[in-house]
Amino acid sequence: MSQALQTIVDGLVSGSTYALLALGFALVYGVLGVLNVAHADFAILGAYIALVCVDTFGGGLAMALLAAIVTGIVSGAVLQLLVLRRLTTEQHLSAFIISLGVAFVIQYGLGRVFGARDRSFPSLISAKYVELGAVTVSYPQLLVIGVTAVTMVALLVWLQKSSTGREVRAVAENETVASILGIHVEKVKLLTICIATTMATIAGVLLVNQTGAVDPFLGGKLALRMFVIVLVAGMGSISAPVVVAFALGLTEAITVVYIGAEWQNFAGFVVLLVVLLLRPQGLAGRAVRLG
Amino acid sequence: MINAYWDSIFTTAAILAIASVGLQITIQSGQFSVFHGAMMGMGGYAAGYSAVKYDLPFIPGLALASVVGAAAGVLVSALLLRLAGLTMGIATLAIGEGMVIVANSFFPGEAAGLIGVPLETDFAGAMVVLVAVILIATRLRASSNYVAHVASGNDAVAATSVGIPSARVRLWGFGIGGAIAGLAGGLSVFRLGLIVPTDLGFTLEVQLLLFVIIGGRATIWGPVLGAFAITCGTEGLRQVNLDLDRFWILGALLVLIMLLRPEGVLLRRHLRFGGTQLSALQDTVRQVKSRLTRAST
Repeated sequence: MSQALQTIVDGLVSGSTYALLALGFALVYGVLGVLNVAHADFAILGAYIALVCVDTFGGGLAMALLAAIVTGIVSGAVLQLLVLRRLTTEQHLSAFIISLGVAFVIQYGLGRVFGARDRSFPSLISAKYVELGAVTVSYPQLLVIGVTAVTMVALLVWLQKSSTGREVRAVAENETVASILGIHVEKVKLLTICIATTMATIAGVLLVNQTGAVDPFLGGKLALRMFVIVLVAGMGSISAPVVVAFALGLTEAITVVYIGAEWQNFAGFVVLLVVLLLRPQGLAGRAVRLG
Repeated sequence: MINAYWDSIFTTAAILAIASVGLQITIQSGQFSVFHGAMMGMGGYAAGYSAVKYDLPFIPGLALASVVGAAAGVLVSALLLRLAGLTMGIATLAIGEGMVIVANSFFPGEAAGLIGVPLETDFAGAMVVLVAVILIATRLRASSNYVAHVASGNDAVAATSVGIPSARVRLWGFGIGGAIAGLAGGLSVFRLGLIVPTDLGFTLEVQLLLFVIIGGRATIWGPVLGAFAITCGTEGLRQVNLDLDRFWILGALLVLIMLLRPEGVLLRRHLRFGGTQLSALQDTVRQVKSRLTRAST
């Protein structure tokens, strides 16, 4: 029984990272119409920058999070202003291909600068454990769950209640009409992508703090899970990926414990195949026609 | 050949060029595939495994690789029939990466790599296959099926409405592209004597895409030239000690190429493009003629 609870907690931890990443990814897709394959790589970029800052300037969690936030905002802005803004909204495929290129640049660029092997990430907060009944949770794990929960709630409340949030939702729904109604679409897009990449970089820093190691190609492995999540949840939904992300985290945790650790990566892949067979548009997606 | 080193480079380029031709065919049927590298790998694993365990010779090995690639292509295409272009791209990427995971899981013990495959491919052999593949692709373009192929690629719904069996065309598109990719993978495994799971992965996919995008989709030799130019170019980078940089430079190149063609999505553009100065001239002549005719009545 206690192992089951522990498994659930572990699932929640990895699910949180996936949820934060998937949410940003879905947000960018919804508002900008761009499938940013490099989204998870921004998370790792943030982790590396945070590593450098902590090594150079000292400081612990606060410095790392600050570095992550700055990296997120800057990379989002660069991506949007230099690259994405030059594409029209119909050029979805071009944006996708470009994001493949960006992913390449980030992964191999980081590999070039930092070396391709694992780098260990220092523990930013004390590695103490908390005993909640039968379950053991470490502080870094709690940090992941906590920050993710707060960020997601804040984002969803902001989207629903604030006027800027309403503008974001409007652009996501219909960009042309939004612009006719006087919404400054370019600003909304810029804001959205900066928020999304910042969420990614924060998720990256927290993840790496919890696992203790980072390598340039970690983004690719995370990206695979992100794709599985949005494909299963259905493109176009923002809340469904969060649910699916936690479900995936739990599935992986259960797989590790009850089937075998080496099948962990397989779990998501199997789920994806099943969903593609039974309901290709995803759980919350709209049925898409050929072409 | 010049020397053994460049021989090896050109052989690699030829193999990648073969796979690029296959990728171009699949993309033209409207299915944006980030899966061809995986099909190369699957073909390579099949051929390599059979060579090592069952002493399957070179040519049957290549045939097997081709069949495996075709089968994988058809399966994936069938699975993703109801998905639109962009979602399909992500799905093929996800499935391709899944294949890497499978390779890692199913070949344990040998550190997930397969070694000991006899070395059979040389530059001459690779070029023979490349020429053969180009001829096949040219035959495809000349055939009456080509219109159906491109029409499905442009707009599958419209194509279906005029009687083109888009679903079947897509299956063929991925099947043929997969057969070619599998063949390339077979050549590769017989060239290197080994194959590792990362050979199926993301890096290869992006390279193939880059070749096809740079080469354009109007011609068959476009991607072939793209493959040679970039493969030899990145080797040139290695000569000037920039070899660690070559992959992110490829990525940056991909981004730049996509940006400097603001017309963007390759599909529609190239169908309208349709050819050469000659047809543009013919159109102009026709327009002038019709204006003159109208003016005189």
